[in-house]
Parts: sequence; C-alpha cells; structure tokens
Amino acid sequence: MSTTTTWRHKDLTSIERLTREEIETVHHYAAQFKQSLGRTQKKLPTLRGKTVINLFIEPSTRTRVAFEIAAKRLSADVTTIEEAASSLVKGESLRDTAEVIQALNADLIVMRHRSPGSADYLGKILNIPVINAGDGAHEHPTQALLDTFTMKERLGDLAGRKVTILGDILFSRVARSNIWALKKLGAHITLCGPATLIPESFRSLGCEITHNLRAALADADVVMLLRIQHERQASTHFPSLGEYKALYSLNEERASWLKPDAIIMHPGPVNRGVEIDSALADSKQSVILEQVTNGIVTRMAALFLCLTKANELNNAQAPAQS
Amino acid sequence: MVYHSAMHFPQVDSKSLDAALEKLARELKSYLEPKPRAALVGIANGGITLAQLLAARIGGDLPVGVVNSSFHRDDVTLKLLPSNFALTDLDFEIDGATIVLVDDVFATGRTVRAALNELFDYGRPEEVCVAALVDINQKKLPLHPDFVGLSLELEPGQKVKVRLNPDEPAAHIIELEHSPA
Repeated sequence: MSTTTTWRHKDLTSIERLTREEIETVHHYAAQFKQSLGRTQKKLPTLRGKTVINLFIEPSTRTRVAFEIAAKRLSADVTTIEEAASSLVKGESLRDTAEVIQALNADLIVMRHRSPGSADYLGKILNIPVINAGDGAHEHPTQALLDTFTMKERLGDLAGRKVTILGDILFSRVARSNIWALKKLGAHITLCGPATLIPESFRSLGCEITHNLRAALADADVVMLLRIQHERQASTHFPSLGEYKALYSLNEERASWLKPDAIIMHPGPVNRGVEIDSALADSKQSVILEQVTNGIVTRMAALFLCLTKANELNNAQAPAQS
Repeated sequence: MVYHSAMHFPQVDSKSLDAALEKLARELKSYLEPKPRAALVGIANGGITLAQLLAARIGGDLPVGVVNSSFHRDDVTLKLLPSNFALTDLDFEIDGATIVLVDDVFATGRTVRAALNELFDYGRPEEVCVAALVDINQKKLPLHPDFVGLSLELEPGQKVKVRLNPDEPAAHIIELEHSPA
C-alpha cells in the first residue's frame, strides 16, 4: 500500500479539483487529529501564531462552530464575522471585505456565501488560502470530506460500496461535493427523490438515478439523506411537505428494506419527521452525530493542509493548480 | 544515497546491533526493577519495534505504548506525514509512572522534545527517561539519551536508518544515509 501523502493546493474550494490521493491525505490527517480528541489535553500547538477568519455570509451552526473548534484545537486564533455584523450590510463589496481581512493579517479565510463560485473568486484575488464552507448550490467540500471519512471509519475502503443519496439533489451543494468525492474513491452512487429535484444531467457524473425508493435502499451500504431546503424550494418543486414525506421520508417500514449493517447519514440540520423519522435519526444505524464530531477533525486537517508550508513547496512545483 | 551497513559500518553488523539491543534491555531491566510502575513508549515510527523487542527481553509484562510526536514538532508544517504513521496509543495510566521513551536513533533531540510534549498531554509521569539503540552524537538541544545501545560518530549531513527484524536478529540492518541539504 502506498504511504505517500500529497496536497498541492493553496485553497480548498471544491472536491472536483482534488485527486483521490489528496482526499485520502485529508482523511489521514483527520485520523491523526481524531486521536487527539480523547486525551486530557486536547489542544495541539501546531498552528500557534496563525489567525483564521470565518466569514459567514449565510447562516450556519455546525460548520461555523466546527471550524472555530478546529482552529482552536490547533492553537490558531479565530474570529468569526457574520453578515449582519459586518460592513457588507453597509454596502461594502465582498472583494473589499476580503481584502480588509487579509490586510488585518489573517492567515486563512473560511467562507460561506450564497453565490456559487464566490470561494474560488476570493482564492484568486487573495494571497492567503481560502476554504469554502459552502458556496450556494455549488460545493461544500469539507462536508464531503467528513462524510467520506465517516463512511470509511464504518465500512473501510469505499471502492465498490453503494451509496444512495436521497432527497433534494438539485439545490444541494452537499450532494455535489459528495458525488465528486465518492466517484474519486470508487463508490457507486444512486440518486433518489422527486423527479423535479434530481436533474437528469447528474447521470453524466456517473450516478444512477431512480425514483423507486425500495430499489434504491435495498442494496445500499450507505443512505445519505439531504435536507429539504424550505428556504430555496418555495413550493415549486413538489406539491407539499406532506407529499414528500408520503413518498420519500425514511420511516421504520422503509428502513426495514435496508441491509442490517447499512448506515444512515444526514448532513444536518435534520427536519425530523420530514426526511427521517425521529426514532431512526437516533437509532444505531444512524451516524449523524459521528458526522458532527468528524466535522471537527476533518476541518483541522483542511486548515492544517492549507496552512502547511509543504503546500507552498508543492505549489511552487505546480503553479497551474489552485 | 543509501549504503548497506557492511560497506560503511564494518564494526556494526547484525550481531553488534543485537548485542546493543541486549545491552539496552539489561540496563533498563536493572533500572526499572525498583520502580513501582513503569512502561516503555516507542516514538513513532522508528521506536515502535524497538520498544516491543526491549519489553520482550526485559520480561515481566512491562506495558508498551506509542507516541506520535508529529504535531508538536518544529518542522511539522514543512513536510507531509507518510500515511502509515502510527497514532499515539497509551493504554495505561501515565500519572505517576516511570516512562521510558524509546527511539531507534537519537540525533538532534528534536524528536524527544516533541515526544515529551505529546506524552505530557496525556498526564503527569513521575519520571521520564530516554533509551536509544544508536546515538549518532548530533545533539542540538539540551537533551540526551539516558540509555544507549551503541554510539557512532558520523560526518556532518550523514544520518543512519535502523531496520530491526522482530523475528530474526540476524536480519537487523543499519544503513547510512546522506540527508539532503
């Protein structure tokens, strides 16, 4: 087995740009950092003296807090800026805000923004690394890294494993990033949900599409539920939440179609009773809370890799990559 | 460049390495005998096999652990870790114990400095000492090994790599390497 690790990017803005080896390098560091969670002194001195700014222009609990804890566990200083408390509400442009943050001596920016491509844009204009914490419906790379890390912890190698992603694919950056990551790791992906929420174009990414829930669940090793995004869908994509629930909600009966050792995932926040029955979300098959814990260590890995000087050395050899 | 031991260390063949290991085990055994609670902790990855071999020769169910000092190192951001790097594994009480940090090669002392920090993240040992199979006398910090199997004088820029074979002492190897500037 190869023991080579590699990271050749200034920024982490998408999974699409990462190689399989880079995804595995993040997982390797996440495993190293996970080991530190169980000890008396949880803080590592690794990023002492670095300053991380979280720029969150869209609401978030777990991603924002996980990035804050991740930075603090590595001894970086961290400050979070939310849109309502920033000069963006006074009309300052994103570019100006970001350049001010850079001028304030930040070493890295973590950004969530409603516009697809915004993290890439910042990465191009700033000298410091940018980590994408979700850009519109484009990508949420650290979510896919923590999801695949969680799957590997439970299932081992993902090559040949079957993952069913259920629900709103159309609006989901989590789905897009996971599809890229899972394909690179060799898993088979089936997308399932209302036809209006699953673009046919996803077949070109190598996904199977089905609207038959029973078939999608029967041979899955993993079922990944996605949040129904009330704030984006309005009422245009399915008639009602009740209708969605009747056809696609994961309830006790439908969960019995799953293999006994299949795992249930959800990136959160969970709409209990909509995507999944409350009891199932808390069942032994659910790894929803493990995903949250792994969100810390995966983000420690992402911060570390984007701030390591090995990355500068590698970038010097490969200037074409981001 | 990597040379086989026989070319550059005619005096250090597998037999001498094994004798060095035996010497370390003997000295540690007599040192640890009066201690109420002791453990050997191999520094990842080079010290892991050595700690196991020493524990087997010392006998008496001495606990063996691993410390990975990577994230306390002063050079952690300069290069990536290989993916087979072992995790810290200390499955015994650190508070109040005598801990022997074990490494195959003691060079500058930087590894031991980082390993001490990692160890103290897990508790407060009564006492810590350092055992190295080979001391190459390139000390850069005010730290030194307390127990040494054998001592070598190297040219500047030279390093050694030790490969211990747990099943076959005759297959132990020491290699000389020129580290890149």
